[in-house]
Amino acid sequence: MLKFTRFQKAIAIFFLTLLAFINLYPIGIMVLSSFKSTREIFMKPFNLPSVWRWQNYVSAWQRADFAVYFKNSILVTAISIAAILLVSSMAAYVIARFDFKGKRYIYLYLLAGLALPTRLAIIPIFLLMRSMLLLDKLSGLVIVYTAGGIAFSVFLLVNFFKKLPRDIEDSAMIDGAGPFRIYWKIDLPLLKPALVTVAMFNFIDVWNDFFFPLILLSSKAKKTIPLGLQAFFGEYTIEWDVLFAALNISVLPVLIVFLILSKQFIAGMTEGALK
Amino acid sequence: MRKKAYLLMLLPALLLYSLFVAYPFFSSLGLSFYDWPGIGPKKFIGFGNYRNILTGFMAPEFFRAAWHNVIFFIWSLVLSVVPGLFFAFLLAAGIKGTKFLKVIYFFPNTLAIVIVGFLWGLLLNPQWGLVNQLFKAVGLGFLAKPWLGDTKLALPTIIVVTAWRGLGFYILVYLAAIIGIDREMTEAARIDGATEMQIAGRIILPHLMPIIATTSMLKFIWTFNIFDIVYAMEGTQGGPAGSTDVLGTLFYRIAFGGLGSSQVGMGLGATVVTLIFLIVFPVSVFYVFIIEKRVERGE
Amino acid sequence: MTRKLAILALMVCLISPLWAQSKPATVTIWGWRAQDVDVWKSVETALKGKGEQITIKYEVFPPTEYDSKLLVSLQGGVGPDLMYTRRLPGARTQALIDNGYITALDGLLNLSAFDPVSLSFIQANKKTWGVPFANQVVGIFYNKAIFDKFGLKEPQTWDEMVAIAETLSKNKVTPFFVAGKEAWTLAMQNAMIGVSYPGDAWIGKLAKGEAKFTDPEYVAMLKDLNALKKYFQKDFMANTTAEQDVSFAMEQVAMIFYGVWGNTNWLKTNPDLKFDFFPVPPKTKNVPAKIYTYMDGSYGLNSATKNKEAALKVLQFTASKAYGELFSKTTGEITAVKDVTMPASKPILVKCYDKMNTIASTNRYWVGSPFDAGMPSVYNILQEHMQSMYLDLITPEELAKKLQDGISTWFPAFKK
Repeated sequence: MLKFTRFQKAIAIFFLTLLAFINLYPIGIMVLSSFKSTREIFMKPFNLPSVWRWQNYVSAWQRADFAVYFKNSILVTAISIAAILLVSSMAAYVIARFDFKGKRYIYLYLLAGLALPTRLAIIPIFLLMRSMLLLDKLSGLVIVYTAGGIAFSVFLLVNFFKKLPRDIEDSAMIDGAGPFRIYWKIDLPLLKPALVTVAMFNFIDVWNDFFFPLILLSSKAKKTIPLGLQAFFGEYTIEWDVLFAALNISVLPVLIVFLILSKQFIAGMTEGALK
Repeated sequence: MRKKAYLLMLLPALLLYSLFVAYPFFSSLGLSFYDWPGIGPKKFIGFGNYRNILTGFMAPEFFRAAWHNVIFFIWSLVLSVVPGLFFAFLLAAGIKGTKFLKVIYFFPNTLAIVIVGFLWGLLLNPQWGLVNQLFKAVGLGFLAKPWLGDTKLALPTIIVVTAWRGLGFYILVYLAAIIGIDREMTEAARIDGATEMQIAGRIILPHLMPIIATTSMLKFIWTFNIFDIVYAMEGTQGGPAGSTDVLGTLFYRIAFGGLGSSQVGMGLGATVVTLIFLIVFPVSVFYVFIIEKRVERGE
Repeated sequence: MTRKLAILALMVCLISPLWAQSKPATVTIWGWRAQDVDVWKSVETALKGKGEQITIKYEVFPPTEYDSKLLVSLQGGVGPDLMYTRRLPGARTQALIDNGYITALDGLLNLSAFDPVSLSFIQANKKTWGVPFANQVVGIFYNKAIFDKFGLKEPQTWDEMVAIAETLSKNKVTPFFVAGKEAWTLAMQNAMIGVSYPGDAWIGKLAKGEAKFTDPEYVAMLKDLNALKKYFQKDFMANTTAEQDVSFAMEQVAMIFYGVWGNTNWLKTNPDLKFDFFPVPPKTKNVPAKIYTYMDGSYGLNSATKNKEAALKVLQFTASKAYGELFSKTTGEITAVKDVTMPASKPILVKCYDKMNTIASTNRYWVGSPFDAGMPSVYNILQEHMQSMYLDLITPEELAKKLQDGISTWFPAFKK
């Protein structure tokens, strides 16, 4: 820990506030713009709206099927993240806790996923989904996201598992508890902040992805928010008032989830997500 | 046998990953030996695609894009490590409101890259964008530039925007490492009469080297796969005049073609991805071995 | 005989809607045009009015991703019944034809409502592969109020246009707004100028290999164009078409190089906007002023459709005058159906449709031209290097040479 003099503290506060401002200002503009008319957005982009036009939100909501998109997005994201956490934490536990032949290669094999651009593999993925009858189904998306989230999640979680003290585990082992029991009853509860951190990263990726829904889904009733938003962008290219409202509608859930989880998330990051 | 039961817990991850990540990927890599527009019969051409890209008609575009990735990596590394450390040190002083600031700093990370691109496109507009208006307002009108329309400025601008979105992540990671340092060490140095500057520079910083190395490697992997932000701000062409074209946009253009009636080549696209993979994968391997070493040494 | 049969059929249809009713069917259509959603709703209503129990499901995908989506789905056997296809010559639609994913419509449909030129944009191997939906007209759109204010008239020559720009810029009005950040608009600008200067006939010679891009006529045009950039808005290389549309609609700028499809957006933003259209003027009056027109795309029939009968009924309707009128009224664009009266409420359509029928260029080197059929196409080269020229990274002469060299690698007439 560093100890600052008063003067140094004042300077620190100045810079910290400046960065906070730089981070928030563009987002503030995005929020303000959603209450303006298109004309105002272009001509007076940085003023307060002359009239607060809540109807932008009403018309964005009405023109796109946001209720349907929300339902689909929430469903897909929630299930994918639960699956990613379960599958990845089990794998990370094994990699962090046990020694066996070929472990290093398995870890490496999983980490290779960090370096793969998924877009190229789209045709084989599509054909796979078709043969499993998972096209145009939300469950197909969930599987793709779960598989896609494994590399980064295992990567983060292995670090966390390695940090856990081993003595509790050892005594449990002596009491005759099996590996799954130890993982489930002892390690996972201790890893709550880490799990939240991993969940947050996956949440950001899954919630915002639009390429997989585009290719794997085709009916309107299955659309997720980013896909719906993209179509919306195409249809109202120049109605920026409604566009901004739609943007904010799509960002809001992320903001809420982030604010709710931020304490745990930051704790997880601070415990050292990366080594 | 019962002893190895724990291996069952690896199975779901391995199965899902192998089936839906590794298999599709390797089956795509196989495409790099074919001439295939994405439809119809494939024609085996051996290393023909590799020749075209490395020495043939695609070579200038490929190496230009790869060079842009290198520039992107170097500068975004500098722009994440330097301010990342700086702000982490400031936050480490335990000033009031730190918790709140951490949340704010990370927030841009939660925005979709497409949204970030759209938003900054507006802020950087040459005529009425905030950035230029700000410069004009403080009497620095000569700094008001067509940020995204100038071959020299466009790539640096995109790098800065990327740094804007990602900085919070690095601040949090570095802060975690600083907090993790043994208090006794810094206290002892303080008793020996070291100034705060010296403590930061000589004691804390060296301890941060491993984490800086880790983030650099991650950055490397991410940078060579970069696509969305360039696509959102400059389109598939990586304009103006190709000055922001990176391997990701080059691949996309070749494999999917973007708008209109242009010819596409899945085989050629697969070749670009294979080459990206060949650049990035050794770094991942290197990383795993470093980590393992570190664990063996008990750090 | 056929006539009698037709009359009989018509009467049967008219007097017996009950037993003429077909069994209900759903036809899925995929496209990239979000503006067509209402068109298909009206088509469904119109067909129901004729007793056809056909439900139309129209799915829109982003234009940039549409082709990959379609390709992947067709190969997976889960494509739509009808699909929007890009014009020919073009690698994408050609690939659909070559691999049997779309069916030739000759003999299945009556396509007499189209003129041969519109159809030629979707013909290959002597067959017709789709029903054209729109013709686009590109040229210069100008703000009438601004022109009137300074007593300006539509220019007849290039130099008159430069004089107009000079007058405007002296009066602190931005003469042109150019969306330089979107490279395709620069390629389009080059192409629309090309048909008047060096001109239709010159491009005809070019296609036969009797002229070259490095000819003095073409280089002179590039030089004049490059010199025109001082009349573009400041920092035009950083602007997008969305910004162009707003600026034009908000009367911030006098002229833009664009296509007729833009009018819907301008009027949406500013319903009071008064604007008009003129073709790019030629350098001298010896060369006629022409406009660049092209067929935008067509509706293709999936060879693997299970609803062929219903899909053909929908297609046949899109090949009728009634559809042409409906399309133009709903989208504010020019239908590809011939002899349709453009809605009087949209004077710009009336004007552009008239110009299209009178002074359309017969030769071209951008989209819908033989120069767009190979790699690298004129389109590819112009996209990157118009930006380079405007940024002074290359000279007009070098741009001309890049075009000539690039096309020479594959264009048959240049090879010999």
